[in-house]
Amino acid sequence: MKVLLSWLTVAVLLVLLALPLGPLPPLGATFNPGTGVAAAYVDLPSQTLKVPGLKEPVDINYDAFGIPHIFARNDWDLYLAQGYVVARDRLVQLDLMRRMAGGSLAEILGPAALESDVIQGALGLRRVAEATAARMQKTDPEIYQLVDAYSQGINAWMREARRTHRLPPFFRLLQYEPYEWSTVDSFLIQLLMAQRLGFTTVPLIYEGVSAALGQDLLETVATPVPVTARLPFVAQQPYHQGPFPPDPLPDVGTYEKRRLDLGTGPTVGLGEGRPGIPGSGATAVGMALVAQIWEGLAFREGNSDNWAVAPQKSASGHALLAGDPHLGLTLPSIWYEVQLKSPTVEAYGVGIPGTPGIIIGRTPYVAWSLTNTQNQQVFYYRETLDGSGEKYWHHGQYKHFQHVKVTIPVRGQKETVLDIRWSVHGPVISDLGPQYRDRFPYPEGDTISLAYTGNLYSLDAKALYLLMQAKTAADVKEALRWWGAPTQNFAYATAQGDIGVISAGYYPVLGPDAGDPWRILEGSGSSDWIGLIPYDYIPQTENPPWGFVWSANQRNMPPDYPYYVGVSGLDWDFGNRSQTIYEFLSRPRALNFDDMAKLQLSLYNPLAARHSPFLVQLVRQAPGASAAQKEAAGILERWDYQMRAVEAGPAIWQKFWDAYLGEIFSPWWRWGGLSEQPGLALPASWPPLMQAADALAYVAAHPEEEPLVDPRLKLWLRDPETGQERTVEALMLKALGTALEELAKERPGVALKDLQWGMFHTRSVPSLLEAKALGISPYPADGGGGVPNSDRASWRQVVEIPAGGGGWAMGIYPGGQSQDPASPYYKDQFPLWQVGRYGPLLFLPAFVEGGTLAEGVGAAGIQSSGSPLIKSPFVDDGHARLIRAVRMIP
Amino acid sequence: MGSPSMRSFLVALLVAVGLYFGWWWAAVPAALLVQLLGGRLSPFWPSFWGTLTAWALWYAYQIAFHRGWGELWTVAGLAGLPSWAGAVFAALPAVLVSLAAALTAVGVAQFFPARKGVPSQPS
Repeated sequence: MKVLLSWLTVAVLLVLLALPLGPLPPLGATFNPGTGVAAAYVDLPSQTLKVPGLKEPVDINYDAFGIPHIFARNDWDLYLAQGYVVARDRLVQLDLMRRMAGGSLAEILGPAALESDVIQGALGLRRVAEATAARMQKTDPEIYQLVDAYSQGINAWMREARRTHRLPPFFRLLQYEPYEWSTVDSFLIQLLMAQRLGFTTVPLIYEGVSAALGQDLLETVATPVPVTARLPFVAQQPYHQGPFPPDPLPDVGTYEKRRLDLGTGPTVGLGEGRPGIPGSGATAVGMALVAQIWEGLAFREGNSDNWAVAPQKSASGHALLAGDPHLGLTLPSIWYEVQLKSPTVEAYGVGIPGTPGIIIGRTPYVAWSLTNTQNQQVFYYRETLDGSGEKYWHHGQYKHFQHVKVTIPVRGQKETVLDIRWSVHGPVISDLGPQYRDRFPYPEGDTISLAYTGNLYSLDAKALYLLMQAKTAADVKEALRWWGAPTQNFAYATAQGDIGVISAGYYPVLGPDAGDPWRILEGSGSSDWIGLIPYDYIPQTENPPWGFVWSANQRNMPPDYPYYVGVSGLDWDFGNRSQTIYEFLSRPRALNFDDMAKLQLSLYNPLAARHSPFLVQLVRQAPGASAAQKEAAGILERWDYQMRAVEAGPAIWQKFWDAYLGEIFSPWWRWGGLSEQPGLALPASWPPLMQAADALAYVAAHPEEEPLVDPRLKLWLRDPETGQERTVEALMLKALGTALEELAKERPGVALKDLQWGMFHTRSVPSLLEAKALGISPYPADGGGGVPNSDRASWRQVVEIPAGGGGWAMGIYPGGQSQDPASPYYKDQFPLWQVGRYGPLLFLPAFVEGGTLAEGVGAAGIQSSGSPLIKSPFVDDGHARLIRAVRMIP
Repeated sequence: MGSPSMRSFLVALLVAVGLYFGWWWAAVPAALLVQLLGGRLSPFWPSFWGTLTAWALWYAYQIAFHRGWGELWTVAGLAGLPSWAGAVFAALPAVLVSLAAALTAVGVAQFFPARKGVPSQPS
């Protein structure tokens, strides 16, 4: 009996250890100390690595932030090594991003991710990525080779990680292994970024708002040029002042060349021959993860900034470049920092994991940074069907829809199969069914397709390859000719002293008889795209006489720009950051390297500066003002409009402004029933409404400027229920009262003067996997919407380039190079970012043998062209050292 | 065959090698093998401690030289558990495998006849 019991217990224990237990992976294999999760750490010792696929040895220096400086003897090896190091540091991120784009998240995460996959499957990113790969192989093989090299680098690390049991614990927990990387995966990630920055459902929203409130009212705010554009403050100052072509024509040839043959056969949602994934498994992580997936597709306020200063305006006589893109903060970061050098390429900067090259950075002679342009890149069409519903009316005849079958594997349940129709415009998103109308709020019963610039052939990889070799402004301009989607404002500065901005990318041009592109267009053909804005006429400027250029997501062209450009978000950015940057750079004084950092870190709120004095004046003059309102006015009067976390002024101001917007617009939204309609419950912070509120407040304080705004704006001041006229002054006073009540409710017992902005405004940097313990918890933060330091910069970069090239650079992002929370490089840059400091960007001229340079030793001779390190109070010199050297051999 | 401590050592050695190859279950054949050599003598504790020691030493090595604790903490974090749960994740399978090994040894020992003059060992 005893024997039997012993053996029985042994069997039970072995089964317990060998099989997954509910959400837990198999304990035995997962926690085997030799090959389980405890062995997964990827160290960075100085070593020689054998990397299959290389043609010649590659040398890599790692600096104190764990940033690789890669020195290759040819471009193939350079790209392969980049893929390898990125995969080593970011494999989980790579796998999740390609799955998110390709619509195969549910395969690993289960039904929780199905909604995301269904939408991505319907939009067809995988189709476009496959067609891009096929096209590039034929027409641009030299670029395709580089993307392929990058893919092979990722695969080399994946195989190495599998062999040495160093796949990240995430894969163990979810009980699957990543499948081989292909060029299609890199294109998928490129398309995902394009989607995040350029995709929009604005026309559908406008359609709904117009139906509810009337087109007349909507047109007062939804204007091609912001309603504040003519007022005498510079919130929407465009960087591009013209002149423009008198007779604008579309570029038909390029448009025709960039149209992709998406094939006619069905597309399956996944690649073949992948390792099997168990039917059940730990999906708790996944459930949390999918909660944030839609963040990218939903509207996001733009917050990126960039500018360049010409030598004549620079204290040192050198060109200056600064940039801080805002792409959402996660650990690990969306950016991967790297130096790349081969006989052809020499660049330092940041790129998106999964796509080769550097997107924001510098060469020895040129520096550049990006902001989102926000022109309209998605157009919606109402298809007219024949009786069968299988054909649609286009150019005088009924045409057959193309049916695309998308298979989405779902972990733990049967796969989902979609049948999506495509017209000549693109996918029919109404085929998703009414349950998706909160994402795509199209009018019920209509058949709606969309045309999207992301579905054109985009040679972004070629543009970056050329940028990474650029020496002059002409090189930059030539490189950006190849940039497609998403449209981006590239600000640049060169060693020759040239500065400029080019808003590179696709701008569709519609036919002369087209309808209003801000609404749903008729699909009959008259509103089809007929071409693109020619590259020479897209918004751009070079060497303006005032000596600086800038962009901050504001409308980048004036009202007389001859082409329609629309918007990709709900509107151009509100313009406050643009105003602050413009005012700072236009001061009559020379600017230096540190000034660039000061501007990036500026907390100045021009909106508050514009309206707060008027509010204070209203309170002072109001006979019935309460004691609290008077105290608040006193605090606002003493405030310097800096959005500091420790001050009461920003808290009162922001609450007031939100309440003021609510006072004007909420009654209309209630009246129109918009709050209850899927996808139309818009916030009052919708930029067109913000601009309308801004303009109304401004002309209330400055009645003499009233002729500069559309008089129809005052329609919003009418109470929609009663028809009574309301005054801006009354609404502002009421809003202040509401704001103070809310503040008291949220912080009971705290005196007004003791309130702090940081009590209401916090910043956190969540883990990409939404695991609380692995992210940075919320902390009181300076900044806020509409100030350059909105506390959301995903990368800050400042570069100074002397005439001979080289120079200095500093940069920082709120995270670290490694995805591994156990790594010292997981969030080591965050503490510096948080306090507004930077790391030195060590642009090494050559590989440093031995791989170590102690702090201080690097102060001379390790920067490009032998320039000494910059001495700036913003730079943390402690990180100016190298710590490792790795040699990769074939 | 040897003293209990010698058998513990042998089990630990075999288990440690097994763990290197990913054979977390190696404790069971190791205990079986060693106990076959050890007869009826003292089956439970040498296999138990031998296995546990091998797992503990491996963990000590990973924690000391390869940030193994950090990886365990990461797993706890991903699962939404406090960091000490990582230690539980490490300890639980180690104890269960050690128990399986010890019971294997006990099962094997029962096949050997009890020897006169040798006091029975706790099992």
